[in-house]
Amino acid sequence: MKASKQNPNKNIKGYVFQTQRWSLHDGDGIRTSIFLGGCPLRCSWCHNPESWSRNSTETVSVEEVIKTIKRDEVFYRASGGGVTFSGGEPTYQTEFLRGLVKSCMLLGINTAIETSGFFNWKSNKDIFQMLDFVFVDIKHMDSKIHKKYTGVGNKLILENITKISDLGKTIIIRIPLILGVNDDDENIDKTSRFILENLDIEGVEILPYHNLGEYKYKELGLDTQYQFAEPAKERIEEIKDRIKSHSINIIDY
Amino acid sequence: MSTERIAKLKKNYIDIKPSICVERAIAFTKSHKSTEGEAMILRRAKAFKEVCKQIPVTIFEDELIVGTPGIYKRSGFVCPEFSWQWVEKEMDDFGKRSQDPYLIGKEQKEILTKDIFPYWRGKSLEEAFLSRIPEKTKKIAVDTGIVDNDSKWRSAVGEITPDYQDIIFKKGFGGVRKEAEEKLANLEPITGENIDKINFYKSMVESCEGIIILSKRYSEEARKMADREKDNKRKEELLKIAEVCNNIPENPPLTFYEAIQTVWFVQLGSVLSENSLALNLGRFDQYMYPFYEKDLINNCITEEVAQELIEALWLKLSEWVWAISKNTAQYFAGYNSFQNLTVGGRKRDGGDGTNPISYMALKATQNIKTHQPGLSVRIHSDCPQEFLLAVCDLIREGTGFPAVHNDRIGSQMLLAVGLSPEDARDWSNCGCVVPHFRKIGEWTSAVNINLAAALEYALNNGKSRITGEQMGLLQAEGQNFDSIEDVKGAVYKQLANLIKHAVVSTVVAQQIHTEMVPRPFLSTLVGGCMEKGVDLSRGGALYNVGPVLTGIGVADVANSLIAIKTLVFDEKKVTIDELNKALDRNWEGYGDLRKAALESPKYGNDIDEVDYLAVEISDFYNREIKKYKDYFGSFFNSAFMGISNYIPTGSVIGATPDGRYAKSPLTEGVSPHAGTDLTSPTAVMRSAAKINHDIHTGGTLLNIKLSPELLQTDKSLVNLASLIRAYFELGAFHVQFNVISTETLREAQLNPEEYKDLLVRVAGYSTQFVNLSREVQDAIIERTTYESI
Repeated sequence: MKASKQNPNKNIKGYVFQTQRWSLHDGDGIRTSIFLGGCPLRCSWCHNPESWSRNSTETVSVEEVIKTIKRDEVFYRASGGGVTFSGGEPTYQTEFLRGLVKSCMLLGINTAIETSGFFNWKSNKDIFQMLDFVFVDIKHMDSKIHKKYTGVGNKLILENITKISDLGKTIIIRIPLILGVNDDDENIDKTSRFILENLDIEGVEILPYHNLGEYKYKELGLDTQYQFAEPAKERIEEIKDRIKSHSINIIDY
Repeated sequence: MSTERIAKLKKNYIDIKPSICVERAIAFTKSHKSTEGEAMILRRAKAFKEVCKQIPVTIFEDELIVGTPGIYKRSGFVCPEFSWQWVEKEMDDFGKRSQDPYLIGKEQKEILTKDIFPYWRGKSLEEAFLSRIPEKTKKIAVDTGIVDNDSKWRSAVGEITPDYQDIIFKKGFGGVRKEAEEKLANLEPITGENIDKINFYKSMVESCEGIIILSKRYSEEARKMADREKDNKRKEELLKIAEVCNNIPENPPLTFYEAIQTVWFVQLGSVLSENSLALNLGRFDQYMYPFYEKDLINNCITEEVAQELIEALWLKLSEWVWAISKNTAQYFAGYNSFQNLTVGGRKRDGGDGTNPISYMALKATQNIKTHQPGLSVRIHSDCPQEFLLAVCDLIREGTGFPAVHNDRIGSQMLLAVGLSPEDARDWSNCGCVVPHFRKIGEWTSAVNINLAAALEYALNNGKSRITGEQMGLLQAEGQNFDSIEDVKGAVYKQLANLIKHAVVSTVVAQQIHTEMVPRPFLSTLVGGCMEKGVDLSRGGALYNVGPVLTGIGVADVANSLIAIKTLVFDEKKVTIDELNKALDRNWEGYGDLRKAALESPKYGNDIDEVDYLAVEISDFYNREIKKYKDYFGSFFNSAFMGISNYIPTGSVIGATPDGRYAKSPLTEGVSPHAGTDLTSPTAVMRSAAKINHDIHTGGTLLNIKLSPELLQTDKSLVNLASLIRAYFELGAFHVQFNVISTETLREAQLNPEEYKDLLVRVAGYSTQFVNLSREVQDAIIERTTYESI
């Protein structure tokens, strides 16, 4: 192998809190999802609070993770699948993520990311250039409300999404649908307009809130600041229709 | 959707309980009484003909495809020439037994007791086998669950694929008879060989006459019924039946209808000749399509009519019942008769052979969901994606059908046993998952060998942990277990001994078969017998492939060895003696040790350390088997396939080092042990694909259970197709899917009446869930269900 084809980052270590093979809902085909630990956000509805702190698991090297990823290569090839980096917030471990994405790129393995969009663009730009597919959240268009429920404002996020779109990447915008937080018509319309004015995307995926993660808060001894209810099916459909009425695709993975 | 007629016939079928009919036994026995002293092959052919003459001819309401082996819609029957003792012993409990009960009338029991059994006393295959099998082998191979071949001496062999392409559809039975007569005209009884040949060809003539007589009787009956019929539409149908049954199977079929009725007469004749399992239907789409195409051109068929006829055949195949002993029923649960039917795959020239009939066969199973035929598909790289998606769509129905096979590996297996490249491309499935061909003679499921027994005897000085009896070899003097290699060595020694006994019991059975139960009718169907002038039971087929010895519990042995390696040698948590104590006590008082055992790596999670132990064991098994040749000089073959054999084999084995409790089930085929495959279906497939499938020429089986939620969208169906393609790219042979929720199954246990048509994949086949015993039901529920998180 030529020196240029070797990934110099293969020994970098990072935190992975879960690996899921045969993942079917985080991109095309049969995928392996790698959940990287650590997140700068504190979304009140988060169903993976164990991912907030990255130090709760042992470190693994890029090479070790890639070894697991490669296990299912034959399935990715047959299905047009690949790897999805999720979290936590995967960019929270920039060097580790870079190592992983680069290794996959060199192996010809399709890569996707699930990100909050909250990261330093300069230090992550090259990673997004290497990625094939991006899932990114727009949680709320109002920065104040955004900050109230997630701990951070939305300015950086919206800027980054626009920049990712400018790179020409395939993008799916995800809206975690939380009753009483972001499900009002005004916010949905604002989100749609932002998309139409600034982005070139495949479509929007609605992820209705579910309370399957609630028990984890108890286990981890965390307070649940807010209580949320699961949105009704009819309301979900109404919102989907509303987004569609802006000529934006709705996608279900 | 099926037609109204088929829906009605199906409802009728699921509502009827199987009953034992004695008509075949009466006619067969009567004939035998009158042929004492003649050559056995002729006696059997004459008895078959007598059955064809005497058996009541019944055309049931609304039927289009006609012919029944008994007087009941769902008849099972007794073949006393193979075995009658189990019937005598068990018939009072036929209705009560948990697995596959039958109804039997008082009158029928009386006939059997008075007229049938007394004649066969001392004359049955079973009695001959038991008197000839060496004592040492008998101890381990008769009703033990360790080495089991009772289906080869308590019942007939079956396991054939009729040659429609070169024999039946080309010549008809009239043509076959003529050919035999011509051969006879040129033979003088001047050598022993010639005498054998003369008897063989005479028996061919008798057999052909028998099946022709039977069809003409149906023709006559249909005409009589037509005369009486008031309804004009039905009258026309009956007249059509009369016309069809008059022409075929004496002559080659001219239309699709005639071809499909021929197929059923061939099945019926085979069933009446020996009541056996695995009377396969071969490559149905390949031999049926030319008739369909021709009828379409001639405007004498529509797709709807053809579909209805196919579904009518499916019902016929499901109605008759392979009556078997309580013991055999544990191994082959679910009234299953293993009539395998194959569609898809490459043609003899290597091109793709998928045609409209391939899709219609899938649709038939989708529509009527009967447990027969055992539908198999062959998938290859150039197989149309549309066909594979239709296969996935049927998988989604949750019937467990079809069994999905790797076209290329099937061919490779048959090349390995000596077929020509063209014939090897033309394979179809036999029984469960055995690649087969219409000119092959082979015992495709000769013996089940309990691999966990080898492990138990290795650790326990040759003794059964449950009975304490000396079953295996004594430990060699001074033999210590200082490393995992020592343990493996001891396991292999015990395994080699079991294989030797399996070979002995097979060869003894084969020899008796050549003497006592020649197969003249089946010899008319299998390529090679006519040319050689030799009966199928004596090696008459063009290819004689060696008997298949099926290993059960490869995952259990691999998991146990890795647990021993980890706990005893690597971590030194326990000594071998202490572990043996824990196993003797079925883990009682050893909770922590059992927990550690359960936590050690398990086959099925793509962990090389344990997976390659499974590979090593299966490779050893194959090498050891290949040391032996059968009665005809063909090498034995290995297989890891399931029937429901993992339950009875488990019930005789004590606790195992992998954490398994005593008497609980082992593992089917190359599947992971139930509930231990926790990673992903892709991991299961990678583990299973590490096994060298191509050398196990008797077939390998992987069962994966998926919950239906995973298959709801079109996209998920495409992913399932990719999963299959990738598995085959890894070199594996077969996979089948159970797509049923655990809730549904529990619900079915509570309310069996409401779930009478719920089909599940037991192992190598599908059957009605409610017809399975509670144990089997529980075992199926226990299999891991993958849920997407």
